[in-house]
Amino acid sequence: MNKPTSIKIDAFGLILPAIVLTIWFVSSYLLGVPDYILPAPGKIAAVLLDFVTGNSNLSFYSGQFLIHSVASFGRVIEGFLLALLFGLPLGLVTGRFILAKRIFDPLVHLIRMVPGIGWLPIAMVWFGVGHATTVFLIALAAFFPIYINSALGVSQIPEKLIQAARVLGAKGWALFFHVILPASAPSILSGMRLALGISWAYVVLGELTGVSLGLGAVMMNARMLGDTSMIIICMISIAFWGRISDRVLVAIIRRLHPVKEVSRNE
Amino acid sequence: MSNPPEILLSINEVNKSFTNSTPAINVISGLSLQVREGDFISIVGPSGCGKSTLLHLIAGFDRDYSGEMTFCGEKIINPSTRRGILFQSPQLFPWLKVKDNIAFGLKLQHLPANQIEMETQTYLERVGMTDFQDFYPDQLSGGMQQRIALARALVMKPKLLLMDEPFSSLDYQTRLEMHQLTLKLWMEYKPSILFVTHDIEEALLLSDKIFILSERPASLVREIAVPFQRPRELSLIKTLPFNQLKAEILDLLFVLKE
Repeated sequence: MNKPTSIKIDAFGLILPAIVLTIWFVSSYLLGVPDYILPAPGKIAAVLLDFVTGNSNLSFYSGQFLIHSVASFGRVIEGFLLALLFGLPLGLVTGRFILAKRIFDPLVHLIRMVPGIGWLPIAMVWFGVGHATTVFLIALAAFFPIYINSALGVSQIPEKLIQAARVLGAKGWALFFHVILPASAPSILSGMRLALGISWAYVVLGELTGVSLGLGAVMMNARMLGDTSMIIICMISIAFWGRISDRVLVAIIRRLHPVKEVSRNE
Repeated sequence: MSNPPEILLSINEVNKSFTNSTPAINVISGLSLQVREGDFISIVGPSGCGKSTLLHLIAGFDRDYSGEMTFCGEKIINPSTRRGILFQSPQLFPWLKVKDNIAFGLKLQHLPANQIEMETQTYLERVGMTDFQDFYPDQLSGGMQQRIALARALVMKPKLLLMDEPFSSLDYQTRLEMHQLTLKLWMEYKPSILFVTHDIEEALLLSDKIFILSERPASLVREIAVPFQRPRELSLIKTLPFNQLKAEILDLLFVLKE
């Protein structure tokens, strides 16, 4: 039943993008909107190609797409995995045991009241400017959706389903691995996907504060250099990697746990 | 001369109350009953009288009760594979195919793969679901799901099967089919069955004995023997003795309600 993911395109979904693109073309080539506000589509395409391949030396960042991407990707993965390491077990335990919920939940929700961005200055004090701060911010922000959705997934398992499993001989770790984990998997997965999306948002935030490598750093430098096309190209790159990493995450989880319900969350 | 069958389940002066509310609610009070091997017993009583709570205690989900409850001579403290349960909703594992739902308990016992496969196929066939073994539960109708739940419970060869209004959410036609299937499987494997229902016709059609419980807190009011010969046809419900017995039970329940 493993069919290749086919890409279906709904023509209606293309109408608005086509209009936006048309407006962009018109404003750049007919109305003469200047490059420092909105670079022309052709220029963006050329600089983007050069950013990736480094063939025509169009910008300061010619050919650097990969190293900056790798730097950002690394931080996202580090932060995301940290969030998963803490959020998943804590969420599962909290969802299952009311005592754990009473112990952890108040603190977690208290911490959550401070928006992620609000942690930036103190993180810079603690971890300095750069990599560690970025990873910390990602881990912190990505923790909450994983924790909350894991706890929710577990707490929403019908008690009767667990009873049915116990009568069939499931207890302890067997009950956990064969019933609780798969039953809450759809919710855990949506938490992880949310967290990954947030990780990409926070990598930009962290990198804006001053690291030498990373798409967020390029963005910030390009702004200071007045290179608007580079800013937009970084935005496109981040969207691209965000999408790719989401697909990879879904694919990994499908392989580990081929639940039908996974597809329903898409 | 043959001895009466062994006592399988013995409940002696059991009390159960929900203490997490104030005042505490007494659900079961001084309830005593016995189930022998091979018995098919229905439990009826006013709605909300604690029938389901009783099944919970017997299943071993809740050890917060007083009194004595033994199964095969041992005190009930935990769920056991020897006491299967069927709920009103099938409670299948939605992430497992039909055949893997049935094999679930066998796999936990680490039986050899070919034995698991063989048993699974046998029970799939018994409930008439062989053609659907590779489906996922939510691709099937409620009646089909309940057939699979029945197979999943019986494949463990329980000595006692607890059935908590298992067919009450099915349409009439499907319910009649499930009655026939239940009787067929019961004749074949002879687990004892405790069947909670509020449908008196269902109780009369299926069981040998009917336990009538009182209004909450529940205790055993009357044990009624069902005299009809097996195999029973559906046409039984048109006969006079059937309807007399039904009327008698209904009267009893009405009196209890007052």
